[in-house]
Amino acid sequence: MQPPDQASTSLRVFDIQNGLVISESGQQDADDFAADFQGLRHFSDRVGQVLDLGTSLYASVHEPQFTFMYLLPDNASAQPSRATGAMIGSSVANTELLVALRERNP
Amino acid sequence: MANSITPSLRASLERLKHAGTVNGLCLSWRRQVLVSLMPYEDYRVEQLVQVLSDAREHFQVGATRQIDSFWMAYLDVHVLAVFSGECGVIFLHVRPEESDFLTSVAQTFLNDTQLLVAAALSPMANEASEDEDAESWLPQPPSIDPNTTNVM
Repeated sequence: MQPPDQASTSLRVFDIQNGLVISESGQQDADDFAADFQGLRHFSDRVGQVLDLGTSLYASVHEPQFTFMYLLPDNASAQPSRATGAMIGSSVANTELLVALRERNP
Repeated sequence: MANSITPSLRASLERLKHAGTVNGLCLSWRRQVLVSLMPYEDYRVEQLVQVLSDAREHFQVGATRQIDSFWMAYLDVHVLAVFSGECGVIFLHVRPEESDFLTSVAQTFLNDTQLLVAAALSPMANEASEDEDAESWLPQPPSIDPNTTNVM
């Protein structure tokens, strides 16, 4: 799996609507985001399945110099058509990133 | 393997349960469960470790990325998996604001328990060395060496 662009330490926020990634930071970032979103959501839902916890609401993945998080709407169904996410080229606290995404989608 | 875990490793892990609203804990090595303090059957915990290992391998394909942790939220609980080398600690916790603290706690735990984990992974070597130590205290047959004398 190709690593996303980790050079940018600015927060890059993405929206997914009806399966399309909407981004202001370019096609490569959108592709990277889509790949991480699909992978993380797949495994998060599998963890929820194993432990009988249902589908995931949000999830994050941390690397030494990269952080990715997605957030689904509160009333999301099993296959939500909308989602929000962010990635940044540094290690950011989960709480900080979650607050930023929730402020964007109150 | 669970029987061979040193009590101190389990005790150290049990102390982590007091780090917050922690409902469950698990220590893994590669794809094996070393210690499980999870409120789930063993087979479910084993599946959990397998899925998280799959996820880690998925992101690390090509060795271009290094996954430190996953954090996943569900309706009533969060799953936090923190990795260090081939070991991992998995938390079930309630409050989202505790995730960053628990991550740092897990990283410290994994750094501090490397020797305990190594001892748990190779009990045969430890037993062998213990046997050697024990045997060294047994009475040894006298060695007769004509080149040495007992004259002081």
